Amino acid sequence: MDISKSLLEKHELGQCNDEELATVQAWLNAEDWGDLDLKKDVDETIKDGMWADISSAVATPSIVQTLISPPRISTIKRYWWTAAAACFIMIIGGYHCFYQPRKDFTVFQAANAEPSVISFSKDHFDVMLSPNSEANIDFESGNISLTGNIMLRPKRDFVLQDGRSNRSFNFKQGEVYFVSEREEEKKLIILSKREMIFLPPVMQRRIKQQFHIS
Amino acid sequence: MKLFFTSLYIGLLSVLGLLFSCTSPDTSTSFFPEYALYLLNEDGSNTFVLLDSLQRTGESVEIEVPSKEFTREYIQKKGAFYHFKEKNDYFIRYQLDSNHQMIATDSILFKDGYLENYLWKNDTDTLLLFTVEKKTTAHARMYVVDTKNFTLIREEALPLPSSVADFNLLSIGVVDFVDDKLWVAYCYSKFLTADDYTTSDTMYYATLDFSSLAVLNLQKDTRSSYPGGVNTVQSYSARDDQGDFYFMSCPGVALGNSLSKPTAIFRRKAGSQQVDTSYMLDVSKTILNHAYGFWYVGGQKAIIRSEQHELYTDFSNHHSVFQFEYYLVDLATKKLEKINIPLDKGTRKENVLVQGDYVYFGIDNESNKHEIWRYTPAHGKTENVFSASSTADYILRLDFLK
Repeated sequence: MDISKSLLEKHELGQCNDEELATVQAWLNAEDWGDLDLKKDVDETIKDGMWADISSAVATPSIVQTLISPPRISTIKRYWWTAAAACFIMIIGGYHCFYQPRKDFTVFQAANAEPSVISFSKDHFDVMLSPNSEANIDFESGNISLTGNIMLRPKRDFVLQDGRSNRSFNFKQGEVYFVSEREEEKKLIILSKREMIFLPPVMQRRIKQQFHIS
Repeated sequence: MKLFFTSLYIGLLSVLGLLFSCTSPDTSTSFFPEYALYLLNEDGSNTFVLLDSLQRTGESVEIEVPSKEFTREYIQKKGAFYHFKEKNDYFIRYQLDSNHQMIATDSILFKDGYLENYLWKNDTDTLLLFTVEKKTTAHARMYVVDTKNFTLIREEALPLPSSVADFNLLSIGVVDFVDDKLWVAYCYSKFLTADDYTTSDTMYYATLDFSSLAVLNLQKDTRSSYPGGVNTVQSYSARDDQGDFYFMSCPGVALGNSLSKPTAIFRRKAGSQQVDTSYMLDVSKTILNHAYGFWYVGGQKAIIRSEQHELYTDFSNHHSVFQFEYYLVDLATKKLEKINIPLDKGTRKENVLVQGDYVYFGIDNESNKHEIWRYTPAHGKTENVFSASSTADYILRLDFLK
């Protein structure tokens, strides 16, 4: 895997998977920083586009004006206070922008009221919810709770705890897990896909039907 | 002239020498597998270990399974493997080639279904297969395959009711074939909640005329529940030396989930269509546990594999706990004798092989060893004779390939 700006940005945001993380670490530890082109400037069109996005978000008169005619340095000096305010708003806005995806991957919440399976692909895992199932996976608290059944495919190793039984489970990257809520026993049953052959045939068939496996 | 013959002789020797020196040390010429272990490995893959003997001194080779969809639910006879591919309903025949690769050689398209049981008709090349339709698992079907020519001779729906009261999931248990009559044991389960089910308190035994499939006799038996599971996964029945047919019910958590009923062994005497109501070997009463798996040894003796209810919580760890014990059951005196081998793990395994005076067990023991144990019923001696690779997690099957 090559080092790129986008990969470094992902690393900064903590969104790298194991393979990417290892690549970045190896690159940072290496004496030779390879041929990464850090001098190349940002594409003008992207810069303009970003500016337009930010300006429309903050929507101050000064910035609207910049859209109409890009100001020279002297113009900016005249509007120093306005520019400072715009910067402040940009920082707040930037924080807001980056905070959102963070929240998105630390807490996953979904319900399936449809008669068929629904799937989601997230940074840390892919998940399928069987009909009438709800799932709540919170990486901040490390808890998993659900009603019904889900299939979980981790994209990295992580540990989650079943809050009701206080049992922790190690989820491994590359495995597929069947997670089922046992209401009467107030706990989750978690089996890797290969262990599902040990379930009673009646259960195996029910799961195959729910997830349209065969 | 003499010189000519001498040179001819030397030439011939050289040619022969060249021929033999060019022969590669191909395993195919020196290694003839007689046994196969079917493994579930730690990385989730399945492999076969082919062995020329069950002794440590023997040769072995580990091979891939023929496809991703290949499961432990295969049928093996004389080195040919048959597997029903649930995904697309093809019944496929596989053969080991000279390089010990398992190659698909032919296939037959079935109707949609889950394979429930199989039976070699009168121990010939005719294979009877019993399925239940996938969507409702309530309608049974029989396929008759000539395995010599690998052709479908017949397929027909079985005249079994699709449900009894609100028990709407049909399971075909043990099957038998005598005097042109098909004998089928079956039962019904139902879901209690989204993920909890149970099986009704009645076992049904139907005797069918094989040509017309007309029901000749129907018997109900409430002494236990769930008369045998899927027999590609595990054996639940056998015929003894006198022609009497024995089978075991499996109401425990791993099959029927009708826990108030006992695991028990029942008998149908030779020549009778009826299960002998005067005979019941109550396994649960003797060992205070449920059991799954029944292998006939000879001389009115059989092996059963039992769980230990105090060691597992439910089916989340039923397979991973080292809890399974093996008993030698005397079908005549109804006495059970525990066999002195390590505790085993893995829910439902076809890992018991009876050969002559010996019984071989594929055991996954607590020290993470995967071993073959040899037991001599005559004097009770047990010994470890072989260890499989350390990457194995479970020995799911032990097959004899001849």
